[in-house]
Amino acid sequence: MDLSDLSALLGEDLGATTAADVWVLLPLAAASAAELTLVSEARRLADGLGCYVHAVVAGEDAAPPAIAAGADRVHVTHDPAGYLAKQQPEFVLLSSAHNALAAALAQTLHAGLITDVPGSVSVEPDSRALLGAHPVYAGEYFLDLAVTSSTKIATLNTDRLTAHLADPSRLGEVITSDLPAPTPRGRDLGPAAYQPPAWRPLTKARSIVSAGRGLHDQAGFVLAEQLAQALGAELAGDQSARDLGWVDEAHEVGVTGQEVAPDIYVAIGIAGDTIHNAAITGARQVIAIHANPLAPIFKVADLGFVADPKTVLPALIAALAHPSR
Amino acid sequence: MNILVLLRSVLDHTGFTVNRKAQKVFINRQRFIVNPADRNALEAALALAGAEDTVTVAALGGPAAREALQMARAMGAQRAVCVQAPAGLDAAGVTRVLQALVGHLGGVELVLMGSEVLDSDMAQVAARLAAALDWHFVDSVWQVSALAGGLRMTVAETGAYRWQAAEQPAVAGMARDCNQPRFAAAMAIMQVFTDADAVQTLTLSELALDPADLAPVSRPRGESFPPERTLGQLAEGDDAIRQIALALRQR
Repeated sequence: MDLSDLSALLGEDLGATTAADVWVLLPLAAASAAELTLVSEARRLADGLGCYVHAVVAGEDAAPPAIAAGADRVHVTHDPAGYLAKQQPEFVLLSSAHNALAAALAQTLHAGLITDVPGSVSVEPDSRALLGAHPVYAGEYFLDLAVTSSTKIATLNTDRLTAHLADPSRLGEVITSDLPAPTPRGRDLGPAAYQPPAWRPLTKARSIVSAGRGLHDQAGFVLAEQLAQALGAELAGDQSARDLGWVDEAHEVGVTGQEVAPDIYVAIGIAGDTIHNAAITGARQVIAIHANPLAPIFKVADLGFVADPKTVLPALIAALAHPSR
Repeated sequence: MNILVLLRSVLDHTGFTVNRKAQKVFINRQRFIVNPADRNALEAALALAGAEDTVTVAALGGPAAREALQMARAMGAQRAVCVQAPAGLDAAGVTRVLQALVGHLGGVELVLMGSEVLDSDMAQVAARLAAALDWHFVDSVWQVSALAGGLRMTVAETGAYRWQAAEQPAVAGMARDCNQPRFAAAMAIMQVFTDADAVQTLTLSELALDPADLAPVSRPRGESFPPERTLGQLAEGDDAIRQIALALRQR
């Protein structure tokens, strides 16, 4: 039995119910596994509301995985945002990677928007307000928000959603729209010969990758550099890294160097002596990789990984570059 | 070129502490600062502006907004406008006010503001404003420079930077820490703070706006808190690298 059979049994006109359904906008031609969790989230929301899930996708290849993830109807179009703007939907979910698109859509539809929701959204039963949290002060706490407009939009941090369970046996309808692709604005001029300013002192850095002797040699330190680049983080080191000539005094983390308070501190091959650990007490999150399971850094880390950093860093850098892996 | 920069005041994070266990924000000292990314937007505008260009700074609100505008004038902005808007506007309302302001000022070709706002869900205003004005929008901009017949924007992508030729008029969201905001000279500060006309005040009616049009569609319902930190957890097994990568991406 597919969706049209179910609709016929229930005596519903599916076309007439779309406004109150939950819509998911997947604007890239191939939706990633992370983005498909949005469809599962929409499924959960729709099951609670007793309505259908529609996914608007940019390529036909995205239709089967969207149906398997929970969509009842998939709309394939070259202009997902333009197509959705014509539907007057009640609930719309996007990935927080598309905040700008969501904001433009919200403006077009006179809708309220909650961005960067760190997890699930819900619907208030009586008012049908969309409820979600927005992180403030780098996630120090959340503002709980309620959207009450006729169209309600939220962008979700898909990394914080539970991974979806695909059901390839699910059936759904695929509708292809001939709406043309929008004319792109601006023009890409290629890679920029640009170096970000190095004016900001380490003490004010928001994310730091810090290297230590556990990286063994210069080749190991280069891996730490690559991780810092992948994260857009400042590169630093502990006293051993300074002794090895990898970092200068301005980039040495420790009571004898710089005391830091970043949003995230990644200690790579740093055992974590008292001088070092006392200098990172202001860090909001510490992640450590070191080969010695008894290294003191693990006692002050939110998440640790006992492994030779030089061995695991290439895989970690690759995993950051390709989130779907 | 006429450049408009939006300055938003946020609570200084050094004046409060968050107690996750007690589920409370304890405010020790209520002091407002200019949203850091907006300061970067102002610096980008001042760096871009040539002798024939005009940088106008705008803010919505009361005394904190006015003080921010005075400092911006002392830093080099030629004009400052404080819009007396009611408190509690949501992003749609702020966008409506800015849209009206752009129309009121006339001749604005570039609007800059920070691509993130520390204390609220107002970062969406930049993209909303571009949509409302039907202007080109570029986000996560690290540098704006003049290009023959237009603007070149340096945009951050994953681990790399690209150049984009931007259409004008445009709205750009400037990345936090993309530059080092300049200091205002002491003499300039004294001059601006003693000049009653340094900041122009506009009311909603002067912008032909009805407060009823600014009714919020998104309302705060309080605060919630992430769980307390639990130190000493280890990622183990075949999934460890994925766990670490996930934690790094969620930062």
